[in-house]
Amino acid sequence: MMEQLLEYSILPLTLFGITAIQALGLQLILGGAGLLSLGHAAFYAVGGYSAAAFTVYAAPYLGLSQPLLLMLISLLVGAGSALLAGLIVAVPCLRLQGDYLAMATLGFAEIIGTALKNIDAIGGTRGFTGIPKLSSLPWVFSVLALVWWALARFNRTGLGLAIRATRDDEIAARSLGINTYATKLSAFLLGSAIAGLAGALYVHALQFISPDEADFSRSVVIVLAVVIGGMTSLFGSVLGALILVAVPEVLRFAPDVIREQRMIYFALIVIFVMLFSPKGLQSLVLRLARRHQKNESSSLGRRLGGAG
Amino acid sequence: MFDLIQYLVDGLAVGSVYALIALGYSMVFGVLQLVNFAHGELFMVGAYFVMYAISLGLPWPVALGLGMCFVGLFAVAMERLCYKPLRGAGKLAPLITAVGLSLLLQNLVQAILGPNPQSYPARVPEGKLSQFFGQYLPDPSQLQIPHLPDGLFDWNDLVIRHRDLMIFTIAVFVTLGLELFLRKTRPGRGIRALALQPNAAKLVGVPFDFTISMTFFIGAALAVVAGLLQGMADNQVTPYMGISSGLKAFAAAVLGGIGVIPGALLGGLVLGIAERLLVGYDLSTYKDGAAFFILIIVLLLRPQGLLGKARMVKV
Repeated sequence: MMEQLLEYSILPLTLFGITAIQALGLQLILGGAGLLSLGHAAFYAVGGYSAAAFTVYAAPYLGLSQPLLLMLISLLVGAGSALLAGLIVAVPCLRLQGDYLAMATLGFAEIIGTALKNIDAIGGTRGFTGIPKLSSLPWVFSVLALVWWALARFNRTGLGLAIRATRDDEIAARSLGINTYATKLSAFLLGSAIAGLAGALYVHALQFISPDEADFSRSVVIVLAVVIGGMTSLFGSVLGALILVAVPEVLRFAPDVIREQRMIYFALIVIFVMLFSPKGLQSLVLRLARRHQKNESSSLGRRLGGAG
Repeated sequence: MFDLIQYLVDGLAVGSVYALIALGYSMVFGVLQLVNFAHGELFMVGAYFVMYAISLGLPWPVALGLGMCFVGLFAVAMERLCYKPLRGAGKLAPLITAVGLSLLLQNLVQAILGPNPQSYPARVPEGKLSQFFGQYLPDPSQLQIPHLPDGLFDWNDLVIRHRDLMIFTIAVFVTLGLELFLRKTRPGRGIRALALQPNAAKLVGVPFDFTISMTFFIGAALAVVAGLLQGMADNQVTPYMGISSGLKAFAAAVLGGIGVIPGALLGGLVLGIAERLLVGYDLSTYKDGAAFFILIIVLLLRPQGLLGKARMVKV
């Protein structure tokens, strides 16, 4: 029984880890730089397909077979290709005012989806199969931890601060000598590269990827995760990913009427979060935790005879 | 060469529907600099509303009028409840809210009316709703369902279907009417003043909230016209038509020059023709990517669109 439960939970946990990595990448773009990418899943799919193409086609040609080395290189390939794809979209759009980036990333995702369906060497509409199993749950969670840690460090560097300064007030940031175009571009590229990492992990864990992964609905799920969790914090993105992966699993036992309408709840929560609590559910969790802490410390204070 | 002309003509009808949706994107973007991401869903809701109203036995002009009012008021309510509180909160918050609204509408319609395409005369899907409404829906066999004209002009093998011509004519007249409204009437000039310089417009007494509500109302009403035309031309309405046509219409608005009324028409027509050409030359698998390919090329080469003027952003 226990063993079955463990075996059953591997897939949802892997998906949670991968969604969390995607969400962390988008958090940097959305919460950090204040740019909306509606094609995040496409960058993820580009990373995944490139990494898979590397291990299936390029690796035997290069004579690489050591799994650890192969996985590391394919992670680099995934991140690098997603970064290049990001460069193509972001360079024209970030020069413009307005919400063009959101629509152009969306359009780019459609193009990527269309292209993936039409390339036969990587499976076309049938999807890319026959990818060796190189990554697993420990890989996914190690990369998640590494990305989380690295982003937390990055946010405190000069560039990390410049990105948030640009988001808060572009004109003020420019007057401080920040190259706002370069900071926005670097946030977008870094976020896309992280999505590519997630793609490389996904294809080598599930040994399969289809053009559906570049679909608009997948990109929306990542936006939902980041916004619902709270787009101003890294913890919020991971929390959001957890909510989005866990809710369908929990609702598995609920009646059909409730289960099938989960996108309606998510949409309502997003509108609610934007209107009333822009910091997302993460702030709620932290507030509860803090109240708990306060209660503890006040009872401790009373015991010590302090003012409490 | 001859095929080419035929495809150009065929593309006009598809493009006209994009153009009617694009007008709404363009107007709202003009006054608020907001991409009303949920605009495509208004087109979808409108298409359903009109289809059900006609299936209830209402004559089509009444159904269309009711649909325009209902969806228009719905858009006004949406703006008041969801976008207005976020004014001054930057551009990101209303945009994300709009994505949420789009998702909500699409899934609500899917939950209530079912995910499958519906055609004339519409039926309520099986279930409790069907028992409740079933008694009110008239017998489909007795219903006079209006449809677009069937005939065609045949002119040296160049075939023009009457209905394509009709859709194109409607789109051109609606665009002309809108342009006249914006130039000649007082409320129309109010919209243009807000788009040009919001603070100065407020100073000279343009009612801000009313004008914005009106912009949303008109945009939504035009989307309902597009919904009726598309629903009749394809004889099919689905919960997903809003997202696909809506996004292409946005691309059309950007292509023509967002905020420019004739630009929306031009952009829609160019896009419709481009898609028809791809289908004609056996590249139909690339059809859905074409709009966005054009969008990215336009953003690269001429971000203000075909008919737009580059505007300096003042600090």
